[in-house]
Amino acid sequence: MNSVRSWQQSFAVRGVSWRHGLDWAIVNVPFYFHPFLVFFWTLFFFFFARCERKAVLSHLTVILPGSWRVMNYFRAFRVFSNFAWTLTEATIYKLNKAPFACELSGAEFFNELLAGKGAIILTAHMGSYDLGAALFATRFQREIRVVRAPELDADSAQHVDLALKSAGAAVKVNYSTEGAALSFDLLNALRNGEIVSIQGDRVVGEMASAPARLFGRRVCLPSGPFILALVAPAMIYPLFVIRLGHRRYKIVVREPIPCRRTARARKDDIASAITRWAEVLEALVRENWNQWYAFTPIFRNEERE
Amino acid sequence: MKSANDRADDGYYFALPRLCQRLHGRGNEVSENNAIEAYVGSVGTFIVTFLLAWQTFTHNLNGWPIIVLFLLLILAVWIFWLLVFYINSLAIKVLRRTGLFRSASNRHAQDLFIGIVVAALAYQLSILPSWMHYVGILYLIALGLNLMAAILLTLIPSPK
Repeated sequence: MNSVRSWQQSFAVRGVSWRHGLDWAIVNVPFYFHPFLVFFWTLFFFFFARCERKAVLSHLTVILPGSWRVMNYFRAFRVFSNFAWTLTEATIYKLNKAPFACELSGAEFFNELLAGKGAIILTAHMGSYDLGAALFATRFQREIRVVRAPELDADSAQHVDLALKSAGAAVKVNYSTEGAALSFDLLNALRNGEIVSIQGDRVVGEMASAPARLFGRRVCLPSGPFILALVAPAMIYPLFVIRLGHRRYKIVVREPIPCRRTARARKDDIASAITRWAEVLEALVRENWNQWYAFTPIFRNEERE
Repeated sequence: MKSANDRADDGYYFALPRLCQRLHGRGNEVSENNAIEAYVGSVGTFIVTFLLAWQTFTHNLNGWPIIVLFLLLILAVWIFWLLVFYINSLAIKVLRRTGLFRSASNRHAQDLFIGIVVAALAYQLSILPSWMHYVGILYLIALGLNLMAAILLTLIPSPK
């Protein structure tokens, strides 16, 4: 009975079957059929991933105030389509080792990041963060430690884990559910000069968080990266990997956010850094709303302040 | 600023644009990064398959059933191609045991089978008594030119 249930679950939106299907397609289907397949699979997920669709629609009403609900359905479809393409292209990179065109915006900050010893990359569920980590490690010959939320489905989690590890030894993966041990691991890594990449736009489970304002709404953003930056000490570099088109990406690096101890209370130091991060995130999401893959509700408090 | 890999989108996959490149004295690297080729391949194949299915199944239909059939055929075309890819992959597996396609990757080995299926569909479309036969003819011409270009590419020496 259990095996039947787990087999059924593997076909769910968060299941592992479609991930295996995608791997199979990338190995077996020529690239000139990819737009055809991606379009239909996007349609499929757009209809069946109801919770994710609702979350994207609710975000769009906040990001684009006054937008028509009907138009937001098309916009949500674009978000799903871009997500499908980033997953497809990350799989192409993983399995076929295909070359990708890559531009860089904010070269001065990026060079600073590469030259420095120990830094935090703060990113969002935007563009292709998995592909970004792999490109970063292989192109710039720097080890990177990626902190991410685990997949809810055990088989999917295992599949994603293997995919990230296939990027090479330069990409190390840690899960945000690892608890206190993770904090010490990351602190050691930073003090040893490693680069730690953390997604800072979504709070999952018992993760430490702090209030912030995004698009005029109250949200909770992870406070872990800021506490880590304060303790290490390390600079925070906002970095996003944006998809420009067919196998074309842009790495966007924004001005680093310092999170240092001052004469003020510790929570105020952290709060001011989180406010700056929220401003950067808002600007990037406003510009690239069609690539913000926040499939769980972010704006918990719907009351406009 | 562009990275060291900014030549990743140079080159073509199909033989016809590669032949044109070579005739202009440029290299003819095989690349899978051309967006136009990807979309032309996808849209072209979808149109040929859909039009043939439409002509085959919509005889004597009027009103709302035709709208339902339109939507069903779009899904049917998707499922049809998924099945084709799967059957092709099985055929490639069998042929590999006989020593064929040993050096080609699965997705490149599929080219031959897809070419045969698409040519058969385009031929069927081209002989229908409807304006749609022009689409079939156009597709067959494109396939023929690409085949000729592939042969010429093997005969014309590559520029150094």
